Amino acid sequence: MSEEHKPIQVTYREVVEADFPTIAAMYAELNRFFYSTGYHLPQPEDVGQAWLDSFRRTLGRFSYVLVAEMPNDAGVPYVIGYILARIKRTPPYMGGVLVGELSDEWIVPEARRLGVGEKLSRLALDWLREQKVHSVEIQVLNVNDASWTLFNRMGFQLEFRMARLLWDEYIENPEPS
Amino acid sequence: MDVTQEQIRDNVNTLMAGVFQLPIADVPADLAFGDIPQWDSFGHMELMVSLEDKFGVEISTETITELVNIPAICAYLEKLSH
Repeated sequence: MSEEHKPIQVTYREVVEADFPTIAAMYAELNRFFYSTGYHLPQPEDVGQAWLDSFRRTLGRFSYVLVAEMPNDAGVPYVIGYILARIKRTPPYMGGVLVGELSDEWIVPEARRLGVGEKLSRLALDWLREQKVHSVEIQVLNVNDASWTLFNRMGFQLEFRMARLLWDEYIENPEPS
Repeated sequence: MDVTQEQIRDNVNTLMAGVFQLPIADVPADLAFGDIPQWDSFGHMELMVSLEDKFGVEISTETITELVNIPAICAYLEKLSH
């Protein structure tokens, strides 16, 4: 097989502390993407660290990060993407059960369209299933059709839409429909 | 050695204050899931990990869904201490 047709070897593993700076930087990229699509919540200064702090305490017990790696030109593996899976407890009025959530998946541009996102998602689902959660939720940006198509193909069904009202866009007296 | 109910309550209050970043004086005896913004769906899991670490237990999935207020947490820990 010629070198140019050699399949790219992607490997997957659980995150280790040495990966934190890399995945925090990747989350910051993802977060910038959110804002580029019209996301409106205030943007924290050190968003990557704030994101890490939000689940670090429960990592390995109720949260789980998988990373994907592939070799660089010198054959040394480097992280090309990650996914975060978390477990939460729904309030009593919403069943009071443990539910999984897949979120914050990022693949570097040069590793897209290789099936890495789907593999990461399925491995994270395997972990959530082992944790015996009732079901799994995702939130997908409204503009991210590719991501929604993937999750829909995996069996996720749309349950509700989430929207945000900004006060300066509030229409108090709309035209009758 | 059995731990007294009072010691358990004190330990739980201290832990709650730490996890949810509240002054201990602001942790009411009957604080429950949803009473404060910090004790939400994910905050609950952080609390469970802290309980496990502090008291050296592994809390089952079923119990995690039941420990939704301070009295329930104290009762669970009291039962473990006997």
